[in-house]
Amino acid sequence: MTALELQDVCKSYHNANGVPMQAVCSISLSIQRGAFVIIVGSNGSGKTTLLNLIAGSEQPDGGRILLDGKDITDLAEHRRAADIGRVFQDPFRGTVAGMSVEENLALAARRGQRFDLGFALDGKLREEIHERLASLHIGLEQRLRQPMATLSGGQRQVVTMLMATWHRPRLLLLDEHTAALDPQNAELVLSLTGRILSQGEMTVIMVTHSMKQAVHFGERLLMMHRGRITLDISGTEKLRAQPVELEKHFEELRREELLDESVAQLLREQYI
Amino acid sequence: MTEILAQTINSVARGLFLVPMVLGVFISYRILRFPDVTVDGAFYLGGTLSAVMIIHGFDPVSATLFGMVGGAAAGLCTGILITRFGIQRILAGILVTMALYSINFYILGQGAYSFTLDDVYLKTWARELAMTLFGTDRQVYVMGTGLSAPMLSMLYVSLAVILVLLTVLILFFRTRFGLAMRAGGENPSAARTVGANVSTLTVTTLLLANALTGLSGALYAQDLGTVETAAGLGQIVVGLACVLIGDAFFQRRSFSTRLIGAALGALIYKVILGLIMLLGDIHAMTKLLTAAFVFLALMLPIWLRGHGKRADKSEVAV
Ligand SMILES: Nc1ncnc2c1ncn2[C@@H]1O[C@H](COP(=O)(O)OP(=O)(O)OP(=O)(O)O)[C@@H](O)[C@H]1O
Ligand SMILES: [Mg+2]
Repeated sequence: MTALELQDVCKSYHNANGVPMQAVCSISLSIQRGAFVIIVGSNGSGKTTLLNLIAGSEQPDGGRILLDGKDITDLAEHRRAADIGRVFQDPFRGTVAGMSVEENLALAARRGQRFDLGFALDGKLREEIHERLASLHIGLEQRLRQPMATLSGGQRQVVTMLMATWHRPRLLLLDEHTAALDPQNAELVLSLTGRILSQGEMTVIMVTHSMKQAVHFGERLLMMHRGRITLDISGTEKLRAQPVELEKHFEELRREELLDESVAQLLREQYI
Repeated sequence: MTEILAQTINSVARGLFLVPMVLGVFISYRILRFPDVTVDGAFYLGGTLSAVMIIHGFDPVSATLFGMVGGAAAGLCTGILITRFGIQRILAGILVTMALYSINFYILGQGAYSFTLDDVYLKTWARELAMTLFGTDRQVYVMGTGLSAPMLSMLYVSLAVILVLLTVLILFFRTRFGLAMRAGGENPSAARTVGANVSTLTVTTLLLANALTGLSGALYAQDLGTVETAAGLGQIVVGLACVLIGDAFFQRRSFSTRLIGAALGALIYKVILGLIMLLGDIHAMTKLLTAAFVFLALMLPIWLRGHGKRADKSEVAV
């Protein structure tokens, strides 16, 4: 069963000089239900843009996006949220700093339903929040009433992770969600990620910069470069992939880029 | 001494009329994080509408509620300009306020610049109330201080109304919708990822804030007995001053506490102004004083923190 399907999806931005540049170039992709897909790629290769398009925070210039066979291309971001959970690279982005930990989680517990005039927190929900936080063993259950702003980046990402997966979404998007954290916190968030994902069927796309994470996690690996998918391996090929090989592939792309640039430089010198 | 007490109680009575507006400014400024200029227009509109209703024989309560609806409509317009048409937030408020000046002229009729209510307004009501409460509509003595009985009975009623209003608002911001509203203002991207429609929330926030402002405008006009063109001018700054006073006491507290702080801020503002007024009639200077106060209140924390980095300065507004 296909969970997510991208058909010829494009997105371009105008740079500072008003020249359009393709952030995502006619990407077609089909992801099986329950798959764990890793995306790697250099800075600016279009990984975040791709996730933005899937989540609906950006509209594609062309192409269609289907989730479980349903065309969601024109669906607003908040309408997709019922099915798509998301953790951002920036720990400040996924939670509301001025609201307490439990208030943030209460919002997430309402994902996919109306935000109506019922009280956000009742005894039952508080109990469940307490229970789920306590099961992480990092003491967050002691800080339910404190504002998110008082939490460390790692703790925030943990809460964001919990918010994104409170109601096991069909699709979970993780955008370098450990990149802004120190090694210890990154390890914490990563182990939580592993734990949540091991609990069952969820289709996951995880963007990472870490080659170690890329080979360690997931059953399919995509490499992006300049808005395109340049490598797509899965199965035994993915199992056999070594960080060094990936780095090598990366290096090649980078060298090509340098070559492109030096050719451009040469042309510029000759003709201008 | 008695003079000071009398003036203070008088200021509190007046200040209570201002509380809904200050709560409104608190809501738009603290949730959406920008000073919503619509407050100026909504305040005036609330006054005009209630005055016209009273002229047409409606009772003060429905007139006041109608003023509130007018304010809500103004907030709705600003909200739509911002969310649907993508107009800059402050500009949207300026546009609506400007348009409202003409509309207010039209409502008052004959392009009047000011407008005096006859005897049938809130004060008549207060006088009747004083008769039932104190058996007189003249002076009553509290701690040896002569106070106007209608003013005092009005104070009791407004105090009760404000307490109810505060309670309702505090409870509202604990509902799922209220919580989503706070989230949508503070971190739209987080709100969207949990499925909140941030545009709707923004519009509702502005609608609520300006409905409260319209309520204040209606009360203020009926208390004064006149509506004038300049009534709303700078109300947003007055509102900000009160919000900042409230925050001076309750900055790091919960949202509910800060809401109460804003209400107290309104009273403190009025009392301070009232006491300054005892030194001499400087009515014309109040706007200058208020503007200077807001400037100082915004800058002091930064000056006290030592010379902030450039990046800090963009945060002044929040
Ligand atoms: N809102 C925007 N406006 C203009 N250009 C943008 C915008 N968002 C992204 N871009 C450009 O699109 C390209 C792809 O950006 P994107 O953020 O998707 O890269 P990325 O692969 O996520 O990079 P990183 O690893 O640094 O996060 C970049 O060149 C970026 O400058
Ligand atoms: Mg990125």
